[in-house]
Amino acid sequence: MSDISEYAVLTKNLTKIYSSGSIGVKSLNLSVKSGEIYGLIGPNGSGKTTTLRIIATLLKPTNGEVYVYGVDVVKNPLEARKLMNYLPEEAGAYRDLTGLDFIKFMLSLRFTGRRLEEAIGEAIEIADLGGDLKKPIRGYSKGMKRILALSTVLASRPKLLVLDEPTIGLDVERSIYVRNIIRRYNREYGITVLLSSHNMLEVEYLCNRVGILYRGSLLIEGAIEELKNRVGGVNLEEVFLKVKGEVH
Amino acid sequence: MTLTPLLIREVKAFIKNPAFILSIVFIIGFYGILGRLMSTGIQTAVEQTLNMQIGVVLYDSSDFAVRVLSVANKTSGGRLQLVPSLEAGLSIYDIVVVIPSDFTIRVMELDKPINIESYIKINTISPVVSGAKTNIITVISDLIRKSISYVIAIERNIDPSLINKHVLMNTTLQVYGKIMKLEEYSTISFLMGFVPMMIAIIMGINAAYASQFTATEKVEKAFEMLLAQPIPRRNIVFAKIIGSIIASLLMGIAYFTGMFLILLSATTSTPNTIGNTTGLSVNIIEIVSGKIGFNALLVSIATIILGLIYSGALGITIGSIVSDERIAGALTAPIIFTFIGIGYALIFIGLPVNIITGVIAGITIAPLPVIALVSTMIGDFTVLTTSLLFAVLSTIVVMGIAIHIYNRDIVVLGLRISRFKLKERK
Ligand SMILES: Nc1ncnc2c1ncn2[C@@H]1O[C@H](COP(=O)(O)OP(=O)(O)OP(=O)(O)O)[C@@H](O)[C@H]1O
Ligand SMILES: [Mg+2]
Repeated sequence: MSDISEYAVLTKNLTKIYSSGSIGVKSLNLSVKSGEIYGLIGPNGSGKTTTLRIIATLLKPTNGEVYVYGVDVVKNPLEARKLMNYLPEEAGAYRDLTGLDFIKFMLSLRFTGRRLEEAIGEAIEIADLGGDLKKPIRGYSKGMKRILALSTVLASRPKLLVLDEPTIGLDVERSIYVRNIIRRYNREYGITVLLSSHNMLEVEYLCNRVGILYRGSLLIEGAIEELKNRVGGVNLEEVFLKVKGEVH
Repeated sequence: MTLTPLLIREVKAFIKNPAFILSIVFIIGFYGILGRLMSTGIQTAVEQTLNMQIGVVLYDSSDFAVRVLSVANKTSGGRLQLVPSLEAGLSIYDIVVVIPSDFTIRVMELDKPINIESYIKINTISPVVSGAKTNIITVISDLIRKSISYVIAIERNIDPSLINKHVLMNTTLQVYGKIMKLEEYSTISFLMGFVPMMIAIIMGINAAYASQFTATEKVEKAFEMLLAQPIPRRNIVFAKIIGSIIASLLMGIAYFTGMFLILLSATTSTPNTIGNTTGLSVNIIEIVSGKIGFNALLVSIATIILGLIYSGALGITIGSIVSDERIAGALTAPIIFTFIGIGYALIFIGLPVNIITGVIAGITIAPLPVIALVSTMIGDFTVLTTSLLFAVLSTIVVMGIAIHIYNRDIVVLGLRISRFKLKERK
């Protein structure tokens, strides 16, 4: 059992078949090492969101096992949730709350007292929404909502961050800003990050290792440089297209 | 016309909404069955009363009285049965009429009305049955009046229509062993119909609130983040139940305040109604405390609390399995109608109060006060205990289902009635 807890995330033959019969993922063996930033890439419908949702305890796998720092997420979801935080693909917020109230609400589910105050301050800083933070969320733009959600997730400083397309819908500047924060949190606080993305630049910039998902299976997995050498591509985009091409 | 495509889109949106179609089918089916059950209940009630035998205690043994009775009996098709005493009569028949010893004397004296005591035994909560029985009393009173005229007319050889004696029926009811006047019974009967109905409406509205709140949270998309937080999912469910209860209570308070204000303004403009309304309300309180007992009142309050938790949990269950507000909205109507239907049904179907109906009342909650009322009057609390037990049990079960669903995929994915379309195209 000792090898299980070495990994931040470990899936064994993870399979998810939806009730409609469509396959989310099949026999997925994924391993995210503690302290790294792992990028999950793949075309639309390849199973990225499915995988992340299962890890975040939102969906139950049809088959297989998932461990987060050695904790079985199916058998012990509450314990697993204490170790991680999750940014959904579509993260909204309660329309009638102000941004500030939303931050307070989300963080009060994890912290109390001084630690809560600190976390709230941290989230306010990350969100960087200025006076808008005191306004109701119904007036926020998509990007503002995204960064608000992200700020609460980051400020909770979990051991593992699960981010489903973190910069989707953000403008160029904000995307760069978010990438830098993710990197900073990973380095300064040793937070492990598992993220999905369609942005190869982003993945190349941020991630230590990547896994390419295709139709619910992992085609290839490894450090970015290693993959480039193995497949023979100048960048991740080429690697992606070549690997995918081989399957066809 | 730009209106046409807009209108078509609107109509299509609900026609293609499976929840809308399902709820229409459900309501038609549910009320169809309910209607059939109720009409069977009413029919049996009517048939029973149509062939009902009536006990007659004859304290006046004069020749005249015997003759009047025999005429009345013939006219009624032999439905009058002589019994030695009131007690003996009520042990066999549901209706007993007492002809007093001064019957003949009073008939002979010109301007004196004839007083006749009648007793009705009611052992049902069905207003149809009790209504039919009180009607029979009117029929009999009329029958006796006509028979008197007929006998006198034959004796004196005159036209019976010239003779018009006044017959005063004084009716006493024995409702589940409790003696009461007709007016008192009317109040109780009204309460029996009104209280479960009110509770059913409250439950329906509460369930609708809970399902709307839950569905809205999902649409706001903060839901997935919430579910990923290190809190037990049951706490989310509990918070939602309490939230919807608070909303319903606030709405209830606003409603009753509004009603009170209407009453106030109505009383200032027409002073006449003051007497009536206060008179009526005092009457209701008197009857509640005197005849029904505070037991039933306590049970009614307990029923409201249980009903709120139950309907809240039910609403959350529905709200959490639908994928958006539109579907939750479409399901709101059938939820409310179902509770109202159940509130009505038990009463109008005229089922007897026994362990089985007690269990049904417990599971559906709203009719509980009726069970409490009847149990108090009978003085036997077995059925009520069973009912309450089942009410608590089913509330726990519904809550358990809501919590269970919150731990399943369905709370995230929603129940997809139509087929999911594949996203992958590349
Ligand atoms: N709720 C659902 N019901 C049925 N099938 C689903 C559901 N959600 C996803 N799927 C199927 O599971 C597969 C994987 O979907 P998933 O959302 O995990 O892909 P993804 O990699 O996140 O795609 P994208 O890049 O578009 O976000 C797809 O084939 C999809 O059709
Ligand atoms: Mg996705």
